[in-house]
Amino acid sequence: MAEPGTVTFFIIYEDGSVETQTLPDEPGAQPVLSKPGRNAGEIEYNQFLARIEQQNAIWFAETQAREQQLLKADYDALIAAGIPEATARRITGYSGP
Amino acid sequence: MARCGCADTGAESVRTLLSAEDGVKYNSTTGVFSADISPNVGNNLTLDGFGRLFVPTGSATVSTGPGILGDGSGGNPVRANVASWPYVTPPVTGSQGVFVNPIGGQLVGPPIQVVDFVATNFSRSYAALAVNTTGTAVTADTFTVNLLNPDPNRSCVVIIEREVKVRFGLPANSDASFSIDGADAGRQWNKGSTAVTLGGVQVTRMFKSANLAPGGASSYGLQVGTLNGTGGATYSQINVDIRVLYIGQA
Repeated sequence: MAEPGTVTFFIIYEDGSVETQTLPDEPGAQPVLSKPGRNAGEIEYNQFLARIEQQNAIWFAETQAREQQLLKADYDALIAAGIPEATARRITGYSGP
Repeated sequence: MARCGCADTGAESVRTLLSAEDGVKYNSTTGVFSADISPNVGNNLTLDGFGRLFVPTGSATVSTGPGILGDGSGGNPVRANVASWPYVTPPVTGSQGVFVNPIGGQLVGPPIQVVDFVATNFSRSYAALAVNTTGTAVTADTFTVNLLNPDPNRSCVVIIEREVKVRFGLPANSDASFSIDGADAGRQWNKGSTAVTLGGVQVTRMFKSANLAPGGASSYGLQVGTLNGTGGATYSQINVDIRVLYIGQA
């Protein structure tokens, strides 16, 4: 949420990162780009940001899926060793079926 | 016998033909002209030891208005009505004068000192970049602001406050730290059994930058780094506030 008296610019950098830059809303206010990029509009910024957030969501889901596989393997091993299910879930943190 | 053919006239007769104008006295009995000096109170014109018109220094007085003291007499010279110097350092050290404004001719003081504050916020997003795994900070990104002394007349002190938050993606049993301008600033870790995304540490640091010359410009690039990444830690967002306080120097 931008503070009163400020203006926000929407930057898309060539390395794939995106940025909001908020400055005092004064005549001639311009963003400073720290690396190659351009001052894009909010709509285009939101499109790029949505793509980044989607990639991050995929990273998160894949990471969690790998972790669940490991947890499942640990859980299965405990069950096979005769450990009660509730205890096995508590020890491993496995929450799947 | 008169050589010119005129009648020979006596001095007494001539004196009766002469008279004095304003500022001059004439004694028709003695035939002497003298300065007609006013006897009125407030008159300063007199005669010097040689009988010449003379106004002694300090004898002429003047009326003054606010801001001026004295009447110009020898014991009470005209002078500015100023406050006494209340400061520790003497007036000759670092003090500035009173000047005449060429427009209007008024006395004016030095320009007023300028103080300014400029805050810039950056929120930069990335697609899950890996945290540097070494123990030494490696710059992840730079955040730049322009610096400009708002005072065209004086140098200024520049105080820069930096606030940084890094949003990490932390798989189970992972660790990540970030740095501000190369110095370790914050660490987050996940000792649980499943991945989390954390951005809960926001660190502020402040420093005094180099002074700026009158009207001078410069820039400052804040470098945010990462270090000590383990377990596949990533970062997806860096939030930065750079707040700059300009204080004009006396």
